[in-house]
Amino acid sequence: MTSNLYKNQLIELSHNPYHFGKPEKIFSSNEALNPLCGDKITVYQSGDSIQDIDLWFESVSCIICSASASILAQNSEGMDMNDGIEFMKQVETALKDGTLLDHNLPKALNCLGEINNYPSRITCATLPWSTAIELLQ
Amino acid sequence: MASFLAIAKIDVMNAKREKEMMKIREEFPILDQKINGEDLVYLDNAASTQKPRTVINAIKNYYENDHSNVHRGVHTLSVRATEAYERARQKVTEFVNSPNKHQIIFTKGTTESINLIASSVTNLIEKNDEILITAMEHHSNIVPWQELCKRTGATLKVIPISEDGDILMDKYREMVTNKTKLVSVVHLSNTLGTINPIEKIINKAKSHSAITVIDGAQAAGHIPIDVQKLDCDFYLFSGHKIYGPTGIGVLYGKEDILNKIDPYQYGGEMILKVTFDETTYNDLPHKFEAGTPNIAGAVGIGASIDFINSLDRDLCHKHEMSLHDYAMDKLERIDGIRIIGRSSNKSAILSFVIDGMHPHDIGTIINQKGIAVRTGHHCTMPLMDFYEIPGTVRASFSIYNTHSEIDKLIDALKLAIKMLKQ
Repeated sequence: MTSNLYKNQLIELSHNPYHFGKPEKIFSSNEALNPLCGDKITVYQSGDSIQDIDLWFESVSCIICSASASILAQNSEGMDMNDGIEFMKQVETALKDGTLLDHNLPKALNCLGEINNYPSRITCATLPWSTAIELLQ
Repeated sequence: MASFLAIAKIDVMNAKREKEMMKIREEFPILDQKINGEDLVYLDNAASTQKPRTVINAIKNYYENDHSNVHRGVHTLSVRATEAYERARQKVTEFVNSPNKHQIIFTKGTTESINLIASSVTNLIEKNDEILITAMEHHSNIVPWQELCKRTGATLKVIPISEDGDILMDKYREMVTNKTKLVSVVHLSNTLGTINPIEKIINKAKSHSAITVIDGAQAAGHIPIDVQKLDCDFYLFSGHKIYGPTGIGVLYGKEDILNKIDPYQYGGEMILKVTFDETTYNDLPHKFEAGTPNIAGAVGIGASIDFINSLDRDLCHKHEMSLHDYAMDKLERIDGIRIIGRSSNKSAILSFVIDGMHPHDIGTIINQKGIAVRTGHHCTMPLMDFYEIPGTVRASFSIYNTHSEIDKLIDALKLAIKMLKQ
């Protein structure tokens, strides 16, 4: 069976997600639900401030959402808040309009490049990003 | 040897039955297509059934030859449209054995039917009254009652269920008191497949003069309905789950209560006389059908009832349950699969979860093999909380499905599991 969406990299990421769990010190957190399926994600900003981004997450979610959250946590780490928000908004828009591969974005995101061919799954991929943007704003 | 012969006999019976059912399958043109290069296997019938040619043609014929607005028109097309619309109401009347045609109200679907009742009974519900629903209800049989409780100060109470997915009838009997003003229960659970003992539920509710509402969205296409025998106050269902079109539904109500409650919407059709000072409402059923109705939808649901009446319903039931039992047996042989809903009295709906795998991922992957199942919470989030799961994969069977389609489902599931475990 072939499925262009379920690439090995995506499955691997979901099995071993980066920064999965609650951080030792929580500065702030934001919880969101996917109304389409009831999946739940909580994104945490670790540490004492929001200036340097250090995101963690917990979720009851599908492979797409877990892998997407893992990519978010890894690729936003260390960004300052304004750059981080801009980066996240760019990724969220690109996931929605199917232009992920057209921008100069981290290569890790390429495994979500097919998401636009699965309209009912786009929210699974964008949920961590929209939740993080809300948290930081 | 004896058990081998028994199995062989069952196989022969299934094969004979399936041959009969294949003639029916040919009536559904949508099923003859490829999805992702594979034959479509449509196992999402609890969400919506497919439509036979007779229903499609009835709607087409109505628009091509008879369409106009109903009632009050004196020209030929308006008379024809009115006759078609009212003929459909007559068919529904007979389908549920309503004592009168005017007790059948056309709505958009079951959800609107429940909203109509929850809105219109407001004048009968008071602070501290209690409304009972079960733990397996669809959101459409939860939220309207929550809103009614907010408006009136009444309390919504939930009848618990067992792990197998049966209503705990002893608890229910304890919960019905003189405070109980309304009991609203699903006839056949869309997630679990449980067929609830609604006769007993209605009897108990009536012993305390509570209004009884039965959500028949899933049941009407599978179980013959006799509202007079049931003696419920309201019975509701949708066209699109009984091989009819979307956007049309039915509300059956007892005459005395329909006369007692307020209209749901106001405007044309539902009035007898209007002045700037006051309005007199029309008689039943028009009191509850404000505005131009879904005439083509009514024609469609009438045709779907004709279609159902042309079937051997006992044969259809046996076929659907044979598919269910065959799928259940195969699923239970797969490691990590857990069936959600194990009532001893259930319909051909199979919900399950697979250890460590999300239903949406399973659904997306098996769609690559042309298999359509529903995944997620099925609009029963509180039920998902009860089982502590985010959602299920749900395969729901209809008269046109085959045993070989179940084999394809099982093969696709095994491949999806292998793929996601890597």
